[in-house]
Amino acid sequence: MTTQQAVLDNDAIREAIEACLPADPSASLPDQQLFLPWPHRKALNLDCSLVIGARGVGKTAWARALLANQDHQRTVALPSEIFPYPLTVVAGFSDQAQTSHPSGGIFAKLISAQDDPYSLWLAVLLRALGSDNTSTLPLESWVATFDWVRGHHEEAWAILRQADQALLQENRGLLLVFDALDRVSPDGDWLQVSAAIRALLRLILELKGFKRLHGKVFLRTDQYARGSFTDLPDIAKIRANRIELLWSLTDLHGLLWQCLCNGTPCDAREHFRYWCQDASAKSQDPAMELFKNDLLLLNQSPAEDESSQNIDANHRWELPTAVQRDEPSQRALFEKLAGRRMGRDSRRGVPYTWIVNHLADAQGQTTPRSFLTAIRKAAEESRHRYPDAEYPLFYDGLKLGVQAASSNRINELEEDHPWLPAIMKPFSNRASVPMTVAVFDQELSEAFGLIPADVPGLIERLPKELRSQGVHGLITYLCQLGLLTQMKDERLNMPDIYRIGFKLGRKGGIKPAQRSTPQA
Amino acid sequence: MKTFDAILPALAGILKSYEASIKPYLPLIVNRNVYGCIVLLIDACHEETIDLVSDDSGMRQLTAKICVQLKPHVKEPERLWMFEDNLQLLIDDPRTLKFPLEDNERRLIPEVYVIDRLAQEATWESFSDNTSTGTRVVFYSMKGGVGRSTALAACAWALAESGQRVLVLDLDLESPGLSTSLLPASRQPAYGITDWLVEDLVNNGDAILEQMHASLGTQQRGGELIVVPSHGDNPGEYVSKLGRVWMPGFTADGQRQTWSERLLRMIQQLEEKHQPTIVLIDSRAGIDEVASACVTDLDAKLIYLFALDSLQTWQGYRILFEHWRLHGVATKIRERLRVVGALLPTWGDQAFMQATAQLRENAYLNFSQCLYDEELAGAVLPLADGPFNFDLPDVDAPHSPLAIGWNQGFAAIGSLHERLAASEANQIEFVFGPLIDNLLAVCGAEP
Amino acid sequence: MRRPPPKLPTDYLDAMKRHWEDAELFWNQEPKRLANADQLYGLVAECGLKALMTKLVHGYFDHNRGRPSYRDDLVHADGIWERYMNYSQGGAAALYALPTDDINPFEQWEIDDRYANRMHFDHTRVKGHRDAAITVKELVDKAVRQTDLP
Repeated sequence: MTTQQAVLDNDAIREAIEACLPADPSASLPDQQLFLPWPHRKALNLDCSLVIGARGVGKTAWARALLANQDHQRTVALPSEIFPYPLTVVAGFSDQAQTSHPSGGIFAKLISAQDDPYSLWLAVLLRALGSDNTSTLPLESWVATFDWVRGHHEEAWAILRQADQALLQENRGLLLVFDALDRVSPDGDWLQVSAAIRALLRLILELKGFKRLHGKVFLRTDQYARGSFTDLPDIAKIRANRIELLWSLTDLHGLLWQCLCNGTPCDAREHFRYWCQDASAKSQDPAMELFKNDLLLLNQSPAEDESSQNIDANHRWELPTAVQRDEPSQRALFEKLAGRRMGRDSRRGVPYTWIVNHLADAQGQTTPRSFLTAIRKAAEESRHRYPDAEYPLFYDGLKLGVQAASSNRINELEEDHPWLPAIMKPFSNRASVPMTVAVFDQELSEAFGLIPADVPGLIERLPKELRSQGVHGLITYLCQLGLLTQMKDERLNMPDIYRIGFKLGRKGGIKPAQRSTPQA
Repeated sequence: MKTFDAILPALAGILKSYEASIKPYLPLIVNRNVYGCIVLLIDACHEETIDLVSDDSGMRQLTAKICVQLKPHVKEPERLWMFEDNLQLLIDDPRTLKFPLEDNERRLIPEVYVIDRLAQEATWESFSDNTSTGTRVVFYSMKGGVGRSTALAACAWALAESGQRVLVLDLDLESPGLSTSLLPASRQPAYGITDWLVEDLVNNGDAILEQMHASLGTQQRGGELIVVPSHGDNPGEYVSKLGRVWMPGFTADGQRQTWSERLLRMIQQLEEKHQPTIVLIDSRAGIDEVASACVTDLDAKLIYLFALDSLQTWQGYRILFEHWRLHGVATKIRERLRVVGALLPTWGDQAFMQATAQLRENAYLNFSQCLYDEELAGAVLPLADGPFNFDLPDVDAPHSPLAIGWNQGFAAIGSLHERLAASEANQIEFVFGPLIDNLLAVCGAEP
Repeated sequence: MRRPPPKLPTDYLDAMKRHWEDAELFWNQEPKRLANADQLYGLVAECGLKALMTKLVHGYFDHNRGRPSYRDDLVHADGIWERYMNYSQGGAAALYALPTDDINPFEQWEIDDRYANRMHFDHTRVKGHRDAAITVKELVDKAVRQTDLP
C-alpha cells in the first residue's frame, strides 16, 4: 500500500478511535491490542510468583494471555522466548468456569469456617498434573478430591515430587495461574478471601522447592496489603520477586497506539500505522537502536516496512520501538490527535501529559483502563459537541473524557470496597479539600461513632495493623488505596479524579460571588 | 481606639449590625484618605432627607458608634458623611479603583465599596490588560539575590541561540546589573532606560532611542539578543536621574501620563524598532511601586515569581496576593503567573525532590488561599470558564514551580557573558532547562 | 441640581491671586477691614485648592462645562478643604499635602457670611482663616515653582 497522502478528516479519526477502543471499560482487549510494557515482562518470568496491581492495570489480561499459551499455542501478545522450556499452563483459579478449579460457590461450600483452604489448593495442583500422574486421585468431584487430599498429605507430596521429576526428564514445566481470588467467597467475606490467599501463598512458597512446578498469583494491591502476609515464614522469597504492574506515561501512550493500529480495519487505521512508522523513522535517539536489538531477541520483528501491512484482521501489527518507548515520538503522535494545548494558549499544559496526570490517583498512578476510557469518551464528545474543532480530540472533549473515566473509577472502587460510599456520604456535597484531619474525624465520628469499629463492613477490610489506629488507620488505608494524600501540613487532599465524582469541593480564596462582582 | 488594619473589619461589623438603617442609603463608599482617615460617601439625593440628629435615628446611632470605635481614624460625627452627585456613576466607572468591603470572614457587605487613596502613583491595583500583541515576560522576585537576573540572562542567551529575537530590558534601575552581566564592557551602549525616562520629560526620548541597546548576534541564524540596560556605559549623574525617572509626564497636548504609562510607551517604541519575538523584563524586587508597575502595568503575558522557599518570601508573596485578591486584580493576573523555584539544593536527588515538593506545597497554599477560585462541593461545572483552580500536584498550575537548582558555575557571576559564551548549551539547559522550555512554549516554538 | 455654566471662563489661579491681594489689603489696613478680609481668605483657599485639584487630579475639572465634574462646583472653602483632604491621592498628594490637623480651619466659614453683620468677624476668627489661606497659597506657590501649575 502506498503511503496515504489523502487528508483524513477529524470525524473519521474520531469514529476510528471509538471503534478501536473498547466501549465497555471492563471488557478485555483482544490479543492484537495487548501491549506489554517493558517493565511488565518480568511479571511473566517463572521466578516471579506474585504479581500485584490495581484494578484495571491488566492482571486478568496477562493471566488470560498466559493461559492461552497452553499447548504451545503462542498468543500473539507474548514474546516467543519468554519461557525456558515448554509449559503447560493451567488456571488454578479464575473468574471463568474451568474444569481445572472449583467455582467460587463450590470453593466457599467446601471451605467452611474451620477448614484450611491449603488442602483445596493442593487438590487443584494435583489435578493439574494430568491423569498419568494421579491415578490414585479421586476425580469424580471436587468434594472427593478434596477429602482425599485432606487425609493423604504425604501421598500428595509424593505425587508432586514424582511429577516434578517426570517433567524434568521431559524438559517441560507446569505453571498454575491464580487470578480473581476475591471470587473464592461469592458472599464477599473478606476473612475467607484472606485466609484463602494466605493458604495459597503458603503452597506457592513450598512450590519453590520444586524444579518444574510453578505458581503465579495475581493479586489486587489492596488484597495484598490487607492480608498482611508479612508474618508468613519465608514470605521474603516471593516478596523479593514480586512485580507491581504500574503504567508509566510512555506505557500508556504505547498501549493507545497499539490499540489504534490494531483496531477494526479502516482507512484511519492505515493512517495510524503510517504515522507510527513515520514517527519511528524520525526518532533519532541512538539508545533506541540498542533497545531495538534487545527487543528483537525477545520478540517478533517490529513491522517497520510497508510490506508488512497485512489484510488479515487478526494479524498483530507490532508498534515500532520508538512509539513504544520514546517520549518525543509519542508526543508528536498525540499532537496529531489532540494538538499541543489544553486551552486557548499554551499556559495550561500539553494534552499528551495533561490527560495522564488528570487521571492519576493520589499515588500518581493512572490505569490503562481509565486512560482508554477517557480517550474514547473524548473522541465521542468531540464528535458530538465540537465537530469543527481543529483537532479530532478537542481539549474540552478530553476534560469530559476524564470525567467519564472518573465516574468509572469510582464505581470500581465502590465495588471493591462496599464500605466506601458510606464513608464518603457525610462529605458529599458538603465538604471541600484540602481538609484537616480534625474535620475529617469529626464528620465521621458524628456520622458513625467509633472509627473504624462502627462503620459497617470496614474493620475486617482493613489490614490488621491499621484496625486499632482509629481514624488514622482509616486515613492510612485510604492513602494506600490512592484515594487520599496527606500534605506536609497534615491536611488531607483528594485527586480530582475522585474528588469530582464524590462531589467534594476544592478550597480557594476567591468566592463565587466575588468572581461576578464588577471590579475596577 | 483602632489601628489601621482594624478599621475596615470594625466598620464592616458596625454596618452589618445597622443593616436595616443603612439600607435605604446604599450604595455607600468608604473613602480612606492619604492620612488613613475615613469618611463615608452617599448619594447627594439623600442630603436633605437623612436624619442624623434625632435620638432614635438609626443613622445617628450608627454615626456615633463609628466615631467612637474608629478613633482616631475618623473625625467628629459632623464630618463623617459626604455627599456626591451620581454616586452610582462613580461606582460604575471602570476607572474608579475600588474594592468591596469584607468582614473578617471575607464575606462581602453588599453595595459597600472602599476607595483607597494612596500617596503614590502605582498601586499594584491597576492592571493593564489590552494592547500588546507581543510576548512580554516579566521576571520578578520578592527578595533580591535569588538568581533572577542570572536566570534571565541565561534564558535570553538560550532563546537567542535557538533562533528567537530576544529583547532584554533591565528595569531594576535602582540595582542595575543585568546588562553588565550580559554585555562585555566594550559593548555597553551610550544610554540606558534611565536616560530615556529623564529625556522623555522634555520630549527628547526619540533622540536617544537608537543608542540605548547593544545587539549580540548568535550562532543560530535568525536569532539575536538585544540588550537595553538601565544606564549607558557612563552612568553620569545617576542618582539625580533616578530622582526623576518616576515623574509623571505630560504629552504634547497636555495629557498627564503616569510614569508607568511613559515606560509602556518606551517599550512599545523599542518593540517597534527591534521587532523581537519575545521581550524579557528584569523587574525590581520587593513590594514598592516600581516593582508593582513592572508586574501589573506592562501587559505582560507571563510573570515569573521567583521564590526561595523561606518564610520571608512567602510572607511577602502573601501580602501581594492578598492585596490582589482584595482589590479584584486576582482574577486578571493569576493566569499569567508562574512560580519559579530558585536556588534549589542540588546535592543529591532526594534533596532536590524534597525541596521542590515543599516549595510546591507552600506555593499551593498561598495561591489557593488568595488566587484560586473556590469550587463548591457538588457544583455542576461548566467546561469552558470553569473555576480557576488546580490540585496540588498539577504540573501545569501557576503554583507548580519551574525548578532551578543552585549551581556553582552560575553563582555570583561577575561576567556572565563570558560564562555563557563558554558554557556548553547542555549545561545551561541542565540548570535552566525547565524555564527555557516554558519560555519556548510561550513563544509558540518547539522545545 | 446643576447651575448653568459660569458666563466668564474659570481661572482658579488668577482668581486666587486677586482674592489674596485684596484680602491682604484689607488685613493690612488700619483699622483692619476684618469682615471682607475673612470672606476673601475663604475664597483664596477655595480657588487655590481647586486649582491644585484641577491640575493634579485626573478628571477633576470638566472642561466642557467649565466647572468641576462632581460636586465641587457647589462647594466652598469649608467643603473644599474637606474634599481635598479626603480625595487627594497619588504622588501629588505627597507633594501638596495639607497638614493633618483634626479640625477643618474653615469650619466656621460660609459663603453666606456675605449677608452677616460685620460685628461677627473678630480678629481671632479672621486670623485663623488667614493662616489657613497662607497654607494653601504656599502649596500653590510650590506647584507654580515646580511648574505643575498653571
